[in-house]
Amino acid sequence: MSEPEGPLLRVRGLKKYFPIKGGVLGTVSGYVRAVDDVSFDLWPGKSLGLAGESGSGKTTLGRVILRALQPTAGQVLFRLDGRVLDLAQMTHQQLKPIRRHMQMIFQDPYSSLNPRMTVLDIVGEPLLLSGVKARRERERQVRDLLREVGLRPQYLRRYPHAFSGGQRQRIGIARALALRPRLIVADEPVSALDVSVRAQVLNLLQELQERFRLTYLLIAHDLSVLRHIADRVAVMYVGRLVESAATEALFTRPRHPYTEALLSAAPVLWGHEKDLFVSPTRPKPILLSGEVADPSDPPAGCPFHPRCRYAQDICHTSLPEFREIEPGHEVRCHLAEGLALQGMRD
Amino acid sequence: MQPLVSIRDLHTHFFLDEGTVRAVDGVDLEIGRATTLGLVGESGCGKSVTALSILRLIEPPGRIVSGEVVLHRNGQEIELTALKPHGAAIRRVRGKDIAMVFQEPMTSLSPVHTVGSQIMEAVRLHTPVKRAAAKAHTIAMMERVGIPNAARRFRQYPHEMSGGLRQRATIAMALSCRPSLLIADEPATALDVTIQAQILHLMREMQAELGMSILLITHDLGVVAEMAQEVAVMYLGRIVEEALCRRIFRQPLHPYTRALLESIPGATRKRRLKVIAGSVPDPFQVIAGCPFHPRCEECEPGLCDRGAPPPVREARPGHKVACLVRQRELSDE
Repeated sequence: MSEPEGPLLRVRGLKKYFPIKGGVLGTVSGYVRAVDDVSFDLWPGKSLGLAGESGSGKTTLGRVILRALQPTAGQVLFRLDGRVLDLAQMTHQQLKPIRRHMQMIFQDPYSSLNPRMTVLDIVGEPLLLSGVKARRERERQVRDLLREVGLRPQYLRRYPHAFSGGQRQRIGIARALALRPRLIVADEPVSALDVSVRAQVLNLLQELQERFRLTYLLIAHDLSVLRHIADRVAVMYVGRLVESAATEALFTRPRHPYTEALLSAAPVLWGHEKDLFVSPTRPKPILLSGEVADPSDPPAGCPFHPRCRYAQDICHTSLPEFREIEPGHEVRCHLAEGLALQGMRD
Repeated sequence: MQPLVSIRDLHTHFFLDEGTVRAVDGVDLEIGRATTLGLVGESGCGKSVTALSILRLIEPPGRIVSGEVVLHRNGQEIELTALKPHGAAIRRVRGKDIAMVFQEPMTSLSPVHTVGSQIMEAVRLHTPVKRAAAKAHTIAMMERVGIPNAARRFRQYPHEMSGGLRQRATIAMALSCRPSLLIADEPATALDVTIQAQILHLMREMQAELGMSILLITHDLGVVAEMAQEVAVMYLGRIVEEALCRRIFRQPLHPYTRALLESIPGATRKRRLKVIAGSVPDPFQVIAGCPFHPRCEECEPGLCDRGAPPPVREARPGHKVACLVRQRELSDE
């Protein structure tokens, strides 16, 4: 270790509210609290998985961190060459030189690549914008990038339609890697892919992380993907983090009733090294009643209480703090200490 | 016991300008009574086309080229493949004997009619009941599938409902005439996990109540493990393995099935996931020998890469596989 370092990304009290406008005058009648008071640390070279159902705010959180959206409040502290910058406070002009250090990988490799651009242009565009003006040099770098993501450099002049879903996802990854970023936000990077291709892309993401010491914020609704690839997992519900812990701790010893229900609801094959296909070894399913609460009108108290089978009076009236219940394991639940929740088998 | 539906040597091809896609290329399958058969495979393997062929919903440029699909109804044999695709006979089968639920509920719901009127239409099409009785039946059905405030929801349009509620509505519509077979094509894939669990639970409950069979089409082996008694694995238009669910997960015989299971994150603790080399080939390509051989680790040149595709054979009692290597090994034992 050359120098002591802190987290690459430190998020504190981050909020993103979208106004709901109504009537002819366009007056604001309320807010959708898409991200509400989110705090976490992400260490260099590590992966944080962000789990949650649709509408939980996980994509918005990713976009606010990258400043594709302006946060309503809070801090996004990004560590760069020994300095700590608050991305939330910076102007677009100030952000410009920072953007190369943070990139995004999108879910849908069919809509995220411009169909009228060749692979050379798609992957070379960030290089061009960052000042690699000479065409031959750009072409050389793009060839290297394609090799790094497992594509043949001969494909340089082809258009996206000539590639399969998995190959397109590799093109998207090559583009994200072009400027050697520190942080990559990957929003459902494998959920549009078939099972066999999904494994290829997950392995690629891991290899690249090891080779370039990348830091990942991985957004995924598929818990098995996160268990495989993330070092820590945070679970979101209606805009808030409800639990965050080291991956194995979260999967085997969840402390929030929502996490418990999510783990039990996912029909997943969990196996062991020797006995791969014993199925299914997950706990008895807990069927949650109802649906995810409306983020424009969340229930009073704990937003999960209407669906929680353990809810007490206090849960109807007061919002629990997000607090550390054991070292490195945070939870937002009044009752966490008294609950014996079931997790996945080890 | 007689199966409910038998599919024999079904070939459904699509005749495009670029060439012929053999989407279903020689499928034999029997769907038993009051059981769930999982039909598994990656996109483009022909699982959905198999389902649409059963219901005769293949539109040009697609066509059922050969083979037959027979429905066994009260001792009668109805050859669905011999019926006129737009005739009255097949329309009586659709909805009444065999109903279908799709991944995207808006495939079966019209955006311009209320949900209630659409379910009621299905009821009145197949049963001679008065309007008031049909409405009462519809509301009862909506309640049964867990739609809260069914009487109010009856008058709502699909866009006023969440994805989970819409899928419940299409299940209510599919089951309103008590079909003997429900074909569910990725019924919960587009939904969140907690809602997915609710929908799968509902399907199991309704199956127990109505005694129907389910043909469950999915790419998700986890869903199959949870729902199905039997599994058939498809690759490039053909069944490659078929057995009881437990069997397939404990002892997969076909290299493709094995590789699929090993590529699931979570099913293994290894740092790197198993990867199937290459990707599903171009649909116009005709592959000599076993369709999986170019991607197969156990491929034997001279055996697997020439001649006709391997037939599906019973390798162990109740466990069929279409792999020459495996068939030879097991017959040597």
